[in-house]
Amino acid sequence: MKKDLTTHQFWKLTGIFMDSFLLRNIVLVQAIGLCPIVAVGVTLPYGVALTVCTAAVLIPCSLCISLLRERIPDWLRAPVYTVGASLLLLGAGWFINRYISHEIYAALYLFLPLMAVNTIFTYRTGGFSTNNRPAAALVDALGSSLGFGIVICAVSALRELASYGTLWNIPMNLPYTLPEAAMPYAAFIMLGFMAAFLQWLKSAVRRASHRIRGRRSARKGGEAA
Amino acid sequence: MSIFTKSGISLPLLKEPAASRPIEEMENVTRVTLPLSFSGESSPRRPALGSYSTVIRGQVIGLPEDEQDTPVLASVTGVLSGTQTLIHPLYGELECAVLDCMVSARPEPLPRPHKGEWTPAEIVGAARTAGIIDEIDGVPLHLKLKAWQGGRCHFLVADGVEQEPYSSSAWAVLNEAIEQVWEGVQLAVTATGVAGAHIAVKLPAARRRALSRRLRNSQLFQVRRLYPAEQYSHTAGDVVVGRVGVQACLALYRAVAYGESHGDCVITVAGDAVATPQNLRIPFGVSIRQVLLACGLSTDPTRVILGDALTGVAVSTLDLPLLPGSTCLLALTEKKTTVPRACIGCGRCVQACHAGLLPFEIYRRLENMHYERLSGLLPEHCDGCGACSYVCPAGLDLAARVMEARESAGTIFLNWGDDDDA
Amino acid sequence: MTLKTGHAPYLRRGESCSLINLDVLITLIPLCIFSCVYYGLRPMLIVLTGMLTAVACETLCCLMMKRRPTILDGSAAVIGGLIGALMPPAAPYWLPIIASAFAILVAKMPFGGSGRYLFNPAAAGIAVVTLCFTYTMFRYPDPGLVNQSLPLGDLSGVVTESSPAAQLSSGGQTLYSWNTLLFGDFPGPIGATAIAVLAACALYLFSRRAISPLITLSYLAVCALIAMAFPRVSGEWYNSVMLELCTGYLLFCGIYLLPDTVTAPRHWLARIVYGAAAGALVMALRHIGQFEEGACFAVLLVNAFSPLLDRFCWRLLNLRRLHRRRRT
Repeated sequence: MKKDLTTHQFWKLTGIFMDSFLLRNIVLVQAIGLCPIVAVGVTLPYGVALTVCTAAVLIPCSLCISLLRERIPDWLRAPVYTVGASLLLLGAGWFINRYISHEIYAALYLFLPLMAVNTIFTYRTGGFSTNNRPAAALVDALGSSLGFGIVICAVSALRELASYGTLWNIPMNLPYTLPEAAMPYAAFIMLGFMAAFLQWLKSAVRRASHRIRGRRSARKGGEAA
Repeated sequence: MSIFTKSGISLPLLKEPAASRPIEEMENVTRVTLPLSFSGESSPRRPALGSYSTVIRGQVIGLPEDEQDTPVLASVTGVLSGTQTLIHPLYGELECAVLDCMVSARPEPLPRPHKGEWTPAEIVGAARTAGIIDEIDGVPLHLKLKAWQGGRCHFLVADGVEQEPYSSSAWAVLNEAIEQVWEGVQLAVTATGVAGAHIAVKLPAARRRALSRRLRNSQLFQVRRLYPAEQYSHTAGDVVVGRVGVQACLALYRAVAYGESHGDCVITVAGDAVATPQNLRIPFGVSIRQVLLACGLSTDPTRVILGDALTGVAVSTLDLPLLPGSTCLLALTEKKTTVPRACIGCGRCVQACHAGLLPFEIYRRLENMHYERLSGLLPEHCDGCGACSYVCPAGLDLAARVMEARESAGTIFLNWGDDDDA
Repeated sequence: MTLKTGHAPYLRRGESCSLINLDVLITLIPLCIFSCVYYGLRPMLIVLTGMLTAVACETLCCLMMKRRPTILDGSAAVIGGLIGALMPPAAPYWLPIIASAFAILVAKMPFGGSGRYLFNPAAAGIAVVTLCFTYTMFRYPDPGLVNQSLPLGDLSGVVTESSPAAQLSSGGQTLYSWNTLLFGDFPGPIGATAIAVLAACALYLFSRRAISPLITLSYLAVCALIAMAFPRVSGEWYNSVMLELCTGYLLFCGIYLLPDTVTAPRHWLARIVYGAAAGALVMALRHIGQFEEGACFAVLLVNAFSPLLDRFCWRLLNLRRLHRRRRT
């Protein structure tokens, strides 16, 4: 009995994870947090740094909020999220500057404060964490930041390849480079195509599952007859 | 600016050769089907006679419950052979009496002794007992006259405009008896007490001149607007204009002068599948099949349309009676069917719409299922003139969709399901 | 005998989308011929390259999307032809290929193809090559200097120079007179220099009702007003107006890109506002923009507002009806 309960919970958490990671991807489906991708996601290191920052802020934030959910009154929630996120970002920025790379910090300098009031945090923490248990909130935060990360990494890797001919600062010896890929509109076009691809993938999977289910039920019907 | 923003469309004139031929009497009528109830009426009329009794033209065969309603009169002389229920595309389900025809020709009118001045009540009463039904909208004439009495209407227009491409019946009627039509208009003016009246037409100059020469005081009004021109009047502002059909005016005159019942109408039979397009005087209740056979078919039509090409209804069977309210019957052959493309946004529908709507936007919202946002586009102002569909280069059924939006009036409910299941 | 039913009306004007696109294609022919007089056969080949690329890309997309190919409606050919006509005469052949491919693969088909795209694909294609290959896009051979046909293949010997539009934006003096401007005897894109021919094409398209004169006229009026108020050349006001309107591809844009039926508004008032806004934007981009000619960016920007303009202008004119409706 107890085992059933834990497997059930496991599948439920996996569902939440997949939901926020892919099915309702925060960037490609809900179109939240586009600004950092379009403006800063130019090279892969920046993309990874932004992912780490987002995860470092979103996961603790969500956890705290879901733990405190009943204790903060409604009107105080938004300020609390913002202050908490900015405190965490301050720490993350300091950490990057001190231990990882001063160059990355200089590039992200403008966007770290912006991340604090980014809609990702208010949306996920306000919309999900306040209404769910800590475990679910944690999994959702993990899925959201991974979903954000995979998109920004893909976009920034592509843009780095196209505009500088390098990947993680390693020259790739491409015959042509297109410096304009570093401009914001290229990122918008890429995001559009990725969103379309995700929708196509979802509908293809759904169609395949319908077909399998239909075949199974037909077989069952045949057996019953 | 008006060049760029004028609404309405100019239509091709396909009235020839029917318009230049004289009105033919329909012969070889075998059977007529007359409705005992009209649309919007709760109870059908009582049959006045039993089955297999002989009726003569003008005899009452359906008595109304209410004394003020129109009785149903036999349009031919023949034998009453029973009743039948049929579904008419314009009037819905109809309870009909079937008459096997023996004589369909109109008897020679006997002039009544001249009485002098007619009072309004007498004229309205004559319209009721003669069973006159206006051919432009299918409403009994005495109801219209009564509604306009007492200053509720300021000007009367006898509508002989026929803006649509094929129909020429009003012109044929005016050509035959414009003097009598004008007498009828005068009677209607007396009955309603309106300030004035004219006959509105849209004709080539030579024909108009020939007509107006026959009237002593020129009361022909030439409509110059593009299709659809609704208010055929030079009066403007808050003047209420009453429209009455040319044939109804003629019938009113004959009812008053000769005591004749309204049993026939002139109808244009045209279209590329008709061998001899012409204007035909038919008794009410004749089936479409008989009329088409009388005119002859050159090829098998793919579409038979009750009414004219822009506002008519395509019928699915030829065994429908022709009832007052339509003055045109078309048999068309279509060479090829056009596949509608996506809207290219040329804006022709917006220019064509005389109601000032955005047909393409209504179409788009219906296609995208934004039903809740339809009412903000005022589809209820559409009168179904079909101009938007006519001009659409993409071949979209704009008029039909706008009418759909108008009929539903914000009450479309859908079962929202997973669209991938379909 | 089976009878078809269906919705009224049963009579159509019989005009079709393909015919409208065909009209646009027809007007491109004299423009190409005029360019060929100055530069030889190369402009014609560039326009054909753009057209063929667009048609090929559209076919490819339709096959990928498992739809019936929609090339017969002529929309792809028009987009490719317009892109070709906006190339400099000495453009390498890969330039129209890239622009057309971008226009069809990114700006047209992903939005749903003919009749459904939001941004003018030709303008988008030109905008992209303007951003990516600025130098190539804005260097033109001088028809007066060349006086012979351009080579069809290798371009290494061709001398190119900047156009009068660039001279305007850099503040220098231009030496072009009325008649040189009218007959296209100055450096500029293939189809956009022969001003007299362009005007004739515009009249033809107006009369065929392929484009709305309201858009073009309000656009040109606003451009002329701004050129009058803020001249960039010395001399009389008409000198400035003439130079601003004739150089670059401002006029071409007002005739072909801006009134493209799919992306332009449908309501007459919205059309006027749309044209005026585009005119103001074009002139603003010329005065403060990075490039000598930013008409394609202006078109893309105002395209985004055209559905909004339609609805807003219609509401504005129907306020009384809407109000009465709400009251009942």
